[in-house]
Amino acid sequence: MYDTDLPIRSDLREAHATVVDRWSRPGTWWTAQERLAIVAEVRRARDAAEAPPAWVRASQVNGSVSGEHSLPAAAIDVIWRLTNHSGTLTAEWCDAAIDGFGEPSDAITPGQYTELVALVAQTNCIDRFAEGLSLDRPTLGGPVAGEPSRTVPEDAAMRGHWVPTVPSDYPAVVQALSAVPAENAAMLLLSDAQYIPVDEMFDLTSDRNSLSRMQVELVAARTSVLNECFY
Amino acid sequence: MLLSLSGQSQDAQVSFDAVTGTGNDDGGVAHGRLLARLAEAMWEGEPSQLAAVRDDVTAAMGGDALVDAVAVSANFHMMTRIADGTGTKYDRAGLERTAEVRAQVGVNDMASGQEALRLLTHR
Repeated sequence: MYDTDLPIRSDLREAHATVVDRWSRPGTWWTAQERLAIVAEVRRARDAAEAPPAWVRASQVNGSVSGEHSLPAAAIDVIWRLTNHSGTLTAEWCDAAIDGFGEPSDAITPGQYTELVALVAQTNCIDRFAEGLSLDRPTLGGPVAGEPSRTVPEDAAMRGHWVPTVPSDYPAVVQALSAVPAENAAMLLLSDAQYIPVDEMFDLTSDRNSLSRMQVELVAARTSVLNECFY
Repeated sequence: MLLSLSGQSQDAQVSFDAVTGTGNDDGGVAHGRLLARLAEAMWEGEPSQLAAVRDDVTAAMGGDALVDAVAVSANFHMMTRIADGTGTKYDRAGLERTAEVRAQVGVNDMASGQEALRLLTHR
């Protein structure tokens, strides 16, 4: 992973390699083929010369999305909107996406939606890391055979997020993917290596690798403001 | 908010100009403006702009810092999408705790901020 002389830490390389490898394996709700299609569609959305505005469904724009797509149209719309206009989402939009925007055959489950959000977020993270250092994006492996696990934690329920979560003492954003534990683990793996382990988050004097904690938080805050993220 | 608290914990005077992109100083953080420029270049994704900032960060802070700063910014392209995609919001106590910072940074005026506040009043 990453053919470069840049001093990329081994824990960071390993975290990225693990997550990229998982993209080509069956997930909790999507097959390996579907997960790879999601990652590829994120890249198409990122690379689009002109993305549709936030209120336009990408799947409805001629030439924007392949007609032979293996994903439901609603999933494609989630990918494009979350990649290019993440600060514009509403609870009603999320409900409509899960309902397939009025097309029952396009409906996705809350579990599929949560895993979709996770994959879009991971791909944006890893690809932007590569772009930031002028490295090639990680190449995708072939799909690994097998079925999604379709496992749901016993205590998953609606608790204030738009998707089911499992209760914990962690900050709300760290609970967001908890009803799909495999994706929650991937998020924590990346965040531990790239930001701060969640258990150290509120030790505000903790420097991290070559940066002071204040430098880490400044980069985090500037990036969040650019993404127009309220949280 | 963690920037503010981190600054307080180290008796530093932190301003949010570098966070909002409205100032040309470091905001009380060593190399703050340079790190903000890196985050902005990653957001824009324009290769020549990114290359120039990378050179500046490497010259001023070293290659390790460049990699670590790019990693932090990349991480928040992930976390913002998880938060926005799942409707992660502050509770009332959290909103009160962060009111001053939110006002300084201007997030209440963002679409995601208005949605969060709208949902809170309807809960």
